[in-house]
Amino acid sequence: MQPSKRYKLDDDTLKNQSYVKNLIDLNDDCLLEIFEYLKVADQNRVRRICPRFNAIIQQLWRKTKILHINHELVTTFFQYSWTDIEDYLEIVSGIVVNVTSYYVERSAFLPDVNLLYNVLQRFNFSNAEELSLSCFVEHVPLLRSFPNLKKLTLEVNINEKNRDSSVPFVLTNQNALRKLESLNISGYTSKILPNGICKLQNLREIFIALEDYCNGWPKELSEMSNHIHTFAGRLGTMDLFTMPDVKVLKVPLLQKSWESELLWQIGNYKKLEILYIYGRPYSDEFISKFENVLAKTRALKEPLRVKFIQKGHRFYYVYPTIKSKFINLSGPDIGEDNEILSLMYRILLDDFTLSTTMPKMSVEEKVAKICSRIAFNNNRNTNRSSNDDDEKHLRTMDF
Amino acid sequence: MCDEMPNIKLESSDGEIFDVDVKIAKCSGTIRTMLEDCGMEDNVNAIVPLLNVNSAILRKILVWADHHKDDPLPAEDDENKRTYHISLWDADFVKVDQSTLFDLILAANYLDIKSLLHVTCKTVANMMEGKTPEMIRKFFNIPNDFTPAEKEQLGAENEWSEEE
Repeated sequence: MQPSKRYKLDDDTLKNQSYVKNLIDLNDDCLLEIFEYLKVADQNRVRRICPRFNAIIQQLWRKTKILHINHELVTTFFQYSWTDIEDYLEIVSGIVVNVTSYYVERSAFLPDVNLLYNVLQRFNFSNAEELSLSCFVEHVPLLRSFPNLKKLTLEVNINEKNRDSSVPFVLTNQNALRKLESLNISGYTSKILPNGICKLQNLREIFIALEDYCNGWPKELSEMSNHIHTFAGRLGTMDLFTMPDVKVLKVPLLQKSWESELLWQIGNYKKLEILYIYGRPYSDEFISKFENVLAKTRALKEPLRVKFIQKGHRFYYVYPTIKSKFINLSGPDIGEDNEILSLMYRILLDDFTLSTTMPKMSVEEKVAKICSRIAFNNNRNTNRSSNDDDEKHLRTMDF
Repeated sequence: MCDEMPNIKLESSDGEIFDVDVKIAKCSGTIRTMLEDCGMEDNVNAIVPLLNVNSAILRKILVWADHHKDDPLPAEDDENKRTYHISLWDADFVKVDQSTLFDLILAANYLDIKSLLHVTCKTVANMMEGKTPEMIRKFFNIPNDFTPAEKEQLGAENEWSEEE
């Protein structure tokens, strides 16, 4: 039965309608629906048609949950009109939950990045829980505009002008960032991490990839380690931190030498529950060495869960599951791999610049560093003196 | 429920009665809810009055509903709005004068037919894309009823309109 065929379109009937409808005859719901399909640039133009449209666009902007602050916002969307950008931020700043800003100082025809950050500083993003920010050292005070962040991803660059400038103590300034739970930080200097980070009492996750660690930050981090749950970073620098209570660890493992490094460091994480490894295929030899270290160092009864994510995993090599007394090795769970990949991308991207700009640390230097760390460890917690044997064992391992 | 779907009667605002397959009528969320909540499903002789839809538009909407009667219900997904793709048949369907297009939008909104609302609204949005405020006013015949003070507040208003 196809009743619709009975109703042929009758154009005359359509034309004979009593009243010709105009766009402004639509109700606000319908106009909202239409304007929602427009790009911000067009929405900004529609505001100027009539007061009612202006009000509807503002209503639409008030639904913004995610804000991307980038070149496009300044150039394409708002045609370099700073008044318009301020209007927009005025509406969305108190509403957006997630803000990303990747604004790279690249070429002359782009607006000055300082202008944008100066504008941003005038607003209070009181609802923002997540911020991803790529900026230069002098823009770090911008973080004051984000008082309720739970997750901060900070990529601080240094340009020629401010290579030696010190950073305002924004990260740990009084109440700023007091709600922070997750800190993902990368950049060219630890100067972006001023002393006092241990005041961030809610911090549970730290992902770190920095070029140098020139102040007391590693020590501070070690002092607050009892409430850090998840830790990620490069193996080459992680031996500076002492985090014996960490439960989740995420590391890249792309070179043969990094495997030794991991074997050599894993004993420090005695309470580790899950280890995420992003890297090249492992060998049986590596696994058996790994189990050996775990057998000697592990404080927990349960085997360590190791989740392996292969580089270029999109070709989907499925690792065989290995289960033993000390190790439970498998691939990532559904949905975990993307998160790890984006994290590792950030960590490793930095590593490429690192390898060309930084002299490689000699074995002697490393041993000296580790010794000082062990001394620091023992001073901090005399109850842990029984660990000395393990540390010695690790120190003599081949790296 | 029996295999063969029964018909129901829809009454347009100008009093015309349409005998419609229930499956087709159920493209409309409003009618669907009405049938399911009010137990009208079993009542073959029920007449559903549609006070906001005239016969010309209802006729057109039934053509749409017949074509899309086997589509799955669209997922509520705001993320994809800006990349929403219009099929050839749909694009052809909405090639009507502005007045009819707006009538379709109002009817789709009233009858809660999400897919039709998407297509018609996207079509209007496409007409607005890249145009200056003055061009849009001319295109849709919209009066500029900003007060001088409001114009002042919106800044570059005059530059915008004289640009092209």
